[in-house]
Amino acid sequence: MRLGPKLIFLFILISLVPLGLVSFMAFDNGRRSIEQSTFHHLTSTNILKEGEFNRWIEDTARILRALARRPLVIEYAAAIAAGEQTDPQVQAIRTSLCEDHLLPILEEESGFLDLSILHADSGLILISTDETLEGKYREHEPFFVEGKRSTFVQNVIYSLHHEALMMQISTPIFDKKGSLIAVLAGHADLGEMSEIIQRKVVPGSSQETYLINEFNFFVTESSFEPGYALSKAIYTDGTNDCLAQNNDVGLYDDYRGIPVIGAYKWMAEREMCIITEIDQDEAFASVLDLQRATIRAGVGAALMVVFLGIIVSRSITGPIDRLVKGAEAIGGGNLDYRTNIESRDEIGQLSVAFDRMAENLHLVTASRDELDQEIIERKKTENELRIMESAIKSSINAIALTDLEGDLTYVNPAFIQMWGYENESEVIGSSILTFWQEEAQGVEVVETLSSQGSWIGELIAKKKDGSSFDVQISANLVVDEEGTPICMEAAFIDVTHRKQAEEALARSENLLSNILEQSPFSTWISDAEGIAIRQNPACRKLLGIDSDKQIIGKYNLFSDPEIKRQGRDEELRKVFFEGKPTRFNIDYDFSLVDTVDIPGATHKLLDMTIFPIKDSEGKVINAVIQHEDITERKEMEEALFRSEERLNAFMNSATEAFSIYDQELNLIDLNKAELSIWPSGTLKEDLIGKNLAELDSSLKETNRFDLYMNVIKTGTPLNLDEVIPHPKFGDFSFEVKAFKVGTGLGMITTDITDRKRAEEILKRALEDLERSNTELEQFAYVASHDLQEPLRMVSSYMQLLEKRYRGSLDDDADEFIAFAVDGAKRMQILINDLLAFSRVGSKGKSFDSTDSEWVLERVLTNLGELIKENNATVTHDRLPKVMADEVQLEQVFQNLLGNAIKFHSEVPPEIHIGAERMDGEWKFSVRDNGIGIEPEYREKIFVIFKRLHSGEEYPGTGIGLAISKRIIERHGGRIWVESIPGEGSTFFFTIPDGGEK
Amino acid sequence: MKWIAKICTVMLMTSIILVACGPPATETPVDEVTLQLKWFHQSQFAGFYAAAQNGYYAEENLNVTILEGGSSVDFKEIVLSGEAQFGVAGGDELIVARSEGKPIQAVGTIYRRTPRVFVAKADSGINGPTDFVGQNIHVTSSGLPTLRAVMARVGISPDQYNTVSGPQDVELFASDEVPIWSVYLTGSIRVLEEAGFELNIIYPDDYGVHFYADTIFATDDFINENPDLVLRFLRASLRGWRWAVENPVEAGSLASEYKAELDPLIQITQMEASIPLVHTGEDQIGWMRDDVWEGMHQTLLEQGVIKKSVELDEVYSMEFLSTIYGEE
Repeated sequence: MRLGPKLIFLFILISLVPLGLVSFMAFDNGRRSIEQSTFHHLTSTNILKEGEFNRWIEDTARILRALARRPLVIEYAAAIAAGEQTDPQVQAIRTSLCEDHLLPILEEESGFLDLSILHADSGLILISTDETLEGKYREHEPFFVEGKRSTFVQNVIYSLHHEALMMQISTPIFDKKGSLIAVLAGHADLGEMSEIIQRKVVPGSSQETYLINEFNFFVTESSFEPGYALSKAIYTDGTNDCLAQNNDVGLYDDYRGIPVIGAYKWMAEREMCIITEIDQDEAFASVLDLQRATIRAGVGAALMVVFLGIIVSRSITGPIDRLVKGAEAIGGGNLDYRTNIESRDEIGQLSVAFDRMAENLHLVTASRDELDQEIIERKKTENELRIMESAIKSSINAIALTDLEGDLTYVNPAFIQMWGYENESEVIGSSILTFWQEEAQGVEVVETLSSQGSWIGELIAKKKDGSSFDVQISANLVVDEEGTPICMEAAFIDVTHRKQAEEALARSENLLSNILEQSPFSTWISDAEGIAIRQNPACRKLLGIDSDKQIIGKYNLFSDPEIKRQGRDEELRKVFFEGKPTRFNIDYDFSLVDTVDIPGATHKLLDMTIFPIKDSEGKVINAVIQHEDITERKEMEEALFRSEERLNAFMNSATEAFSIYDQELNLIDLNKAELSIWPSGTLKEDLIGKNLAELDSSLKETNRFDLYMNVIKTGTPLNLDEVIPHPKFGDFSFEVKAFKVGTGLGMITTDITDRKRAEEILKRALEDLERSNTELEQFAYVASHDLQEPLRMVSSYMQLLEKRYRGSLDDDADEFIAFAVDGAKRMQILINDLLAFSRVGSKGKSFDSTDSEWVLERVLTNLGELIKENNATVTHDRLPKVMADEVQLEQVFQNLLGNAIKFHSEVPPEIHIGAERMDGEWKFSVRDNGIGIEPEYREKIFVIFKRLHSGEEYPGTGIGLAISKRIIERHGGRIWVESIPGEGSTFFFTIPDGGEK
Repeated sequence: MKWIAKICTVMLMTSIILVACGPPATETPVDEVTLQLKWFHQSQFAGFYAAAQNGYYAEENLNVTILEGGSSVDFKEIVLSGEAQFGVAGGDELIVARSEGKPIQAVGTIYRRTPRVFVAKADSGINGPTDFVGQNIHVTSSGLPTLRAVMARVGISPDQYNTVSGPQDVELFASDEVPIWSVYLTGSIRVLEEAGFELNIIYPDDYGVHFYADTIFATDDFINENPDLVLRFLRASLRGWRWAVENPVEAGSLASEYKAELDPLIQITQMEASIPLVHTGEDQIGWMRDDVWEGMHQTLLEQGVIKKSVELDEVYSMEFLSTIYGEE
């Protein structure tokens, strides 16, 4: 820091510190005294208000107490509490109590809103000036509980009944003996209390007083915001300290966040805080005035001190400044400078001494200047040499110096490195000739140097380890000013890499040439302007030219009339300017291009590929143009496309689902019908390429995969009838025809789900039928079998009755018994028949080879009597052996023959049994010349118990044919009848070869 | 001046070292807690929303998920099963639960006055329970004990009035067929108010029937094992309720955060109606009184809702409220 400001700063410091201290003390004193007086004021306000508040409560409570002690009130209250409320006398008392005692108190502006008398036991409001309160209970409220003992003031609460804040005051009513009758209570008007608390001591001041309850909630309203009472809680330093039951004063932020001075007092009796606060801004207004005045005085004093300081410092620093200038001038070389300060003080003496010193200095300096000049020159030369040496040392070219004999006197680091040495001591003094592969060449160089003064060329150098490398050399003979040689100097560049690169280039050029020449693809190369520079034989062949000369250097891609005509310029630009390859087909009309001539073909469809060749910076330097004549291929493709289109049309209009797979069963193609098997929305593309195992998840579990693979292997077609889990509808049945197509597999899939389902349903129905038939047979068998026993009893006892009492009763009785016996017999026959019928199914034997001839013989024997009786003639063909249940077949013959004999006309029966070989079965016939059967009965006769004739006319139960039918059907055959009524009937039945089905 | 720079550097370094070497900040993991409400999301539960939204739970290192209840939600079971740690239920329900051997207890109450009131038309002449004689009263099964208790208090037996349940049909109220309804002061009363009726409100509290409608409860085991967590949860919840009482408009609109379809205006009205029930000026928010619990217990016994008395010490605990507020 300079002396001037330092002096000024010192002045300010000396003057302002005491000034500041004094001001601060004055301000602080003022503030303290104001604070103290405010504290006193606020505290006394609190005491005053608390006193007023308590007095108000006391007054109100006193009114209540006085009322409770009125003898009439005591008497009435006792009567009401003890009596029945509906009692007219009690009613009258209630009215007097209310009108004469309670209501007048309210009218006196006693501070009560209502008055009530509560039953001492139950807390029931017996009577109230507010009738809506009557009948309600207050048994648990503190004012009732406490009011039973003594006068009680309940703190402010929210009354649901009044929907407002309320204060309850209560007092007991005792009778003369001092026992409790009731509690007198009233709601006190809070408005009055609030007014006492809120009343401002100084109008317009920010000072306010409020009450808060022990739960931090406002009890009275805030002066600043409405609606705070019991709805806003407050947590300031003042309230917190007060609720800890302290009485104090303090400076803190109030609930609005504004700094206040507050005094608070805990009202233990009311369990509330009374707080009076005033804004600090207002309280400290006068202190602030003092503060402002002090600051003004301070600033004024400071300004004056600064002014004084400047004047004093100037008188001291002026001469010193001149001395400083003098010293700077002499230091800068001006030895003639003199300060000339005319003063007799210490600074004046310093000035004289200074001027004398300057004079002496001037004399000494002049002789030294020449010596200095020489030193500067030398230094310059030295530096230049140092630069040169550094340049040689850091050169990447090897540099060496030799004496005139060729022995090395200096090498730079590059030399040591190039020849693979560690340090220069290994080479210094060695002959330069030892560094070459062939020493003779070295000798030649040294000789050339000696004679001609310089040599430039290449040699093969020999490294320390014996390996060789190519070196380019520039060597010179160094001579002095008179031209006498001093030494030899040479610079070397290692050109091994360059040589290798040159060779590689030559090789790659050769390779490219070979590729180009031998490539069967027509290729030519353009320069960056699109002019042809090279061409291969294939290209010449395509263009029908025999020499390069027609094209090279002449043909320009950019001026090709065909490319221009067909608007391919854009593609060219892409290649040449953006460096992107392109490929397009072009229908090239050679007749439009003068440079080429293709005999016989004016048009060719060319597939043209042009790609750029770029240099290392990405600039296009060449383009390679390849074309392929695709005229024929295109035609073939079109033909193929047309045939494929036909095939597609055929495939897709077929209703059968076709699909084709390769040898690994990957899907190659499918038609619409096959696609429709998949869920709607499935695209062909989703399926193609997927393996059949992937498409049909169940494939691998079954042996189908192997079956299909076998088709591909053997070429034998395969027909399958399979249930395949289907992605759309669950399991599906498909009929699959698989056959080999090329190396893969073709498949025709037919959805036979419906057919399969129908079959399934049929099968199930059949099973049901069989089961129910079996059950029915069982039932019939069991029923008929079990019925026989009781029937036998009936029949036996009937016969016993007939035996014993015939003739001993009257005629009617005999007849009735005869009917009963007959009935029982017939029933026995019916049951037997039924049993036989049911046995056909349940008791049938397995089929065996049976000679029907022999069976018939037996029947004829059985029926011998009947035949004789009816004078019948029975003839028969030679009957075959069949697979049958012998017993049942006998039964059929017996039934049919029996019928044929039984139902004869007037002429004796003539019966013929025949057998005819049919396809897979034998057809038997039993022909008679009997009464014949009307067409409408030809079906009915086979139904069980259907008789066409009465029992008198022809005996029998009519079950024979039904049994026969069942037997034949059991054998898998059919039975039917052909007949001409009056002329006879023929019954036919068939027995299949296989037997039971 | 250099020595000043040196001192500054030394001080700076020291402070950096002190900061770096200070005790590592202890990060206790946040406690995940679920609160199961007794009814659908609405302002009835505003204090809980406030505690969550204002970060009071977070300050207590809690992350509270609030699940709504409903007619088909067995909220007591959900707390019993441990799916939720806290629940909101009526005090009477807790007494009944205890009598059935279910180990749950209240740690604080939200509604300190019964929000379930009876209403009649203002000009109907029905001003108190004595006027209920011979009338049809609409009341749900959960409201029945209150009605019976009030009526018993004024000496009216159940055969002297009829109760009607089923949906609330304003027509029946309008035609005086069912002139008295048991409604929630903070909820279903709106149906009638919106229909334009001037109403007489009959408070069960006026007839000695004091029910805590919404208490905060948890299982015995949970309380015994996690007393600190219960304390923190209760403290933050009550803080939320205090905030809700002080800021009814903001608190009322919080319910919509949990259920977007709620009408904020209705929710604010509901919140404002709740204030006098939550905060009466007598005790701290959440405080419970022994005599009220005894009264509830007595009423349930008299009404035969519970067959024999239960230990009230097991039904509610003042432990946490006392810790929070100090002994009253």
